[in-house]
Amino acid sequence: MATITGSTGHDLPHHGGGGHGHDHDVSYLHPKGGFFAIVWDWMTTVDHKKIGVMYLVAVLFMFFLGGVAALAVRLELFTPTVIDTSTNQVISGQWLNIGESWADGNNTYNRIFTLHGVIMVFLFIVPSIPASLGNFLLPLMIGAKDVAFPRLNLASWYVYLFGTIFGIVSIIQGGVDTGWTFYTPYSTMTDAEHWRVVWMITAAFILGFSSIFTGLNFVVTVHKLRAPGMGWFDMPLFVWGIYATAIIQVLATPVIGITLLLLLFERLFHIGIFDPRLGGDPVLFQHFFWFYSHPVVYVMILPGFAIISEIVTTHARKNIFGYRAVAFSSIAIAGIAFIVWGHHMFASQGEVASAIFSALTFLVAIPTAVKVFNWTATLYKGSIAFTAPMLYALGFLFTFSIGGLTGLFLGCLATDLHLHDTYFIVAHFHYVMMGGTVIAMIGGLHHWWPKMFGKMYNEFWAKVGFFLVFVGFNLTFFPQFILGTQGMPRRYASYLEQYTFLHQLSTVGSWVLALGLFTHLFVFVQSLVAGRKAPPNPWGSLTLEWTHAASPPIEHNFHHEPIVTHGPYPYDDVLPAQTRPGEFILPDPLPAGKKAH
Amino acid sequence: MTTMNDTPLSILAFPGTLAQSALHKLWFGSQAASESGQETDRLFMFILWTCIISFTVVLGLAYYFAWKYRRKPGVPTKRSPSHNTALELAWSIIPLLVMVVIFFWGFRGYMEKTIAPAGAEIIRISARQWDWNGVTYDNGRQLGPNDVKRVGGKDSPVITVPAGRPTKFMMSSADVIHSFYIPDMRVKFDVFPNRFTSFWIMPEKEGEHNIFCAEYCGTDHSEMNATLRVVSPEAYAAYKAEEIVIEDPVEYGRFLYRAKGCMACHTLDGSASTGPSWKGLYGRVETMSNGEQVDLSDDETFYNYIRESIYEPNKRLVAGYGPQMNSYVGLIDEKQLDGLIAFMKSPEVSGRAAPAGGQPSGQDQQQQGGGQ
Repeated sequence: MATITGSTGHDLPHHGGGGHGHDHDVSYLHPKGGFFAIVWDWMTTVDHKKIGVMYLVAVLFMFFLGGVAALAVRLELFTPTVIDTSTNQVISGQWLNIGESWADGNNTYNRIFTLHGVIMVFLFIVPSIPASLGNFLLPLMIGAKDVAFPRLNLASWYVYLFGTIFGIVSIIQGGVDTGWTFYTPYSTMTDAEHWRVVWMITAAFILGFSSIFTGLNFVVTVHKLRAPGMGWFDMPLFVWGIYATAIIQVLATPVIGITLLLLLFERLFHIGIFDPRLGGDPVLFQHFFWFYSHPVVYVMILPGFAIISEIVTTHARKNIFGYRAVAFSSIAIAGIAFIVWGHHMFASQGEVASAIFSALTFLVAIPTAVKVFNWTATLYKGSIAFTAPMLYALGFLFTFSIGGLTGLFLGCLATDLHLHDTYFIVAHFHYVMMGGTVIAMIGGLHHWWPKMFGKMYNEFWAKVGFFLVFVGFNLTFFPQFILGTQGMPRRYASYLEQYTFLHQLSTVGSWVLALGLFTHLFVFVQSLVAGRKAPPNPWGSLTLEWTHAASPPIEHNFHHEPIVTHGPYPYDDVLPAQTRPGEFILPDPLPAGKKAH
Repeated sequence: MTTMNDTPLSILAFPGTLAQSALHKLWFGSQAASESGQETDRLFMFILWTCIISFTVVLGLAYYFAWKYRRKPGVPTKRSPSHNTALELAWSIIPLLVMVVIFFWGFRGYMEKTIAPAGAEIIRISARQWDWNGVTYDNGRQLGPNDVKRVGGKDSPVITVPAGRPTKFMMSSADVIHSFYIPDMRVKFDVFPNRFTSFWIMPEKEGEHNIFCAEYCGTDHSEMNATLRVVSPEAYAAYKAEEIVIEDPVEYGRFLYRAKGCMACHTLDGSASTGPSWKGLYGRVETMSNGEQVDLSDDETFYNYIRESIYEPNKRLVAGYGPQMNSYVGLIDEKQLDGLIAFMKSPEVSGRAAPAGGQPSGQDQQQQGGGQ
């Protein structure tokens, strides 16, 4: 087996250490001049790393806002609303609107759950991993200086900000109560005298372009900028995942753009495409909407898969089991994602359509299951270190598997007629989105934190955070499966008394979850302020960002373009570069004449 | 004689073996109230066991490996293969086969629930924000003043169906999308403003079941409930044959206030909702959104404004309210209009003493109690 060549990175720069003074030697984080110069430098940067960090800060802030809305939703649902039956006045149970009328309380709740959905989907989870970790890592992992179109990358960031401004304007004007799905005709009728619905739709429309720019950039980057020696099957699986994601972003997002534009026209000019009073068809909107919004589910989860593949291999020091299966399953998922949108409408459409979409939906389960099997097999005979990232990967297997398996109940027609639009589906997609994407993202943040900021984090508190998040998450969402099978519909501001106990478990869980997330925030801040300096390759990984780049990387990523001589995971045969001698050891060499696997 | 249900094995809840296992009880609380619903539960339990078994095997292995092969300082790993075509094919194909079973089973159950047998009793459901009061039986009978039950703090309609006979719901909506959901029957279907949709049920026993709106439809979505009352076929025939006669116009108006869905947006206690409260409306001077003052203490002005507001609701809006109401042309006739006006003018609602005559129907006012 070949050993690593090219620059070995022993000439690491030490930012602030003096002596070098050349721009190309210092960390990308090295401040350039005074406060205003630094701000201007970040605002006008075309460095994928800085853009990635700016996106990271933005999406984490949005996660915080959406999380506050989620806590408010859970608080409102701590008890059912109790009404004085003789006067029709609220006695108790409206936690968000004490003293106001019953209808006001419901309206407040409806706006807050919409706010939660809109923020989490459009402002947090769609850009979350691709725009932050993806931006930062993709060029580093393929040995490139930057993405293919650095200015387009910065434009994507400003389009994101621009779209966010419209969202904020809408929220300041009172927010919207359409649900994040904007189903017609409700979305064309509600708040008719206000502009806030228009602003929110505009925000989602603009944010789509940010997503398209990022996707386009990544597709071209992967095709054109791989370092010499890196064939398609030498790419880290993170790159495969981000690549599959980017394809969906480019192909699906224009459809939601057109749909939202039509929705705006319907609302403003009454063109009669979705509004039944004008001869339009509200189900057409659902088809258009899910044609984007189903594939975008995979924009959310594929990057999560991508992260898990890196964490599992690195922290188990083991080649991925079935590299090609994992890589192709990402592409397969991206492809099938486009032909299953109708499974959101089993209770709306005819039998033939439902049957076709149900059958296609089961197809997507196979590549997803294959990934989980491959990660499990990768652990076999590995060398597993229980670091915070690895705990997150193992936690991901648990929560994501539940999310994936419960999809079977929903892809199945007869059971979906019962479970559709109940808490079962709320639990299902939270297990996928939060138990999948968010859990993977937090794990990934810990994994790459030393690389991104050059500081180690505190393992103990990171693990405490993990256990709180894991317990809190399951306590919040598992009871919701049972609420759903027992018939509790979603998007309810109140509920019948029989559901109280499970709702209260869920609400208590949300507090534990919040505590866990704040623990992680504390871990990150503590690391930035007082963290131990990170070595260039603390995990002994074999991918380029660890073996060839400094922690944090220099502005141009590498001193010399790396030359790639092995795949991303030959842990049995290659000692990781940029580690101390003896820090990592190889298994006994193969007997002469035997081939490596 | 012991059945599977009495043995410890019943906890496994394999399809077809059990009435209600502990696991089924944990998930559903109670049995489905129809055969097709129970079939859904059998399928649910089959999928659940598929999930439990595969989850336990895969996660069990993952965590066992993670622990067994945990890193020990200075101990090198053993080489192991990172590819095995036979294994990888097996774990792709076996799940695929299970999926095929689940798909066909689910498809059969879906057809069973959505396609009604010939001769099913047909009940028309016309949904509206935010009630299910628009119920019409096949002989034209609509809901009467007794078809009401308080669910979750709000009076909501009771829909009566026969036990042991198929009943098909033909559903449409007057405004936005709703979804007619009967959890105990394990079935729902969306209700649209531009088409009819349907499903059917055949409840096994007499009893009452919750009906919810499952598609988000605005402010009072969570209060859009109803009750399904299952009665014997004889009682059902008698129920359908009942004639609803309400002689007193105020009582008739009170009934319509609920049955026509007015109460969804107009309160009787003076609090603002989607529309203006009816309390004291008669006798008030209202300011319209165009600045016009309308003196509603004048009988003729009042009658005409109410008539206009019902048939052309957005023509003159009370200041501060949006154009939220749809026209009731064809939905409220002259006699019903008289009833509603009588109700609004009653001392209970208007807060004024009984007027001296002038009731549209010419009947005596009945003194009202309660409600304040």
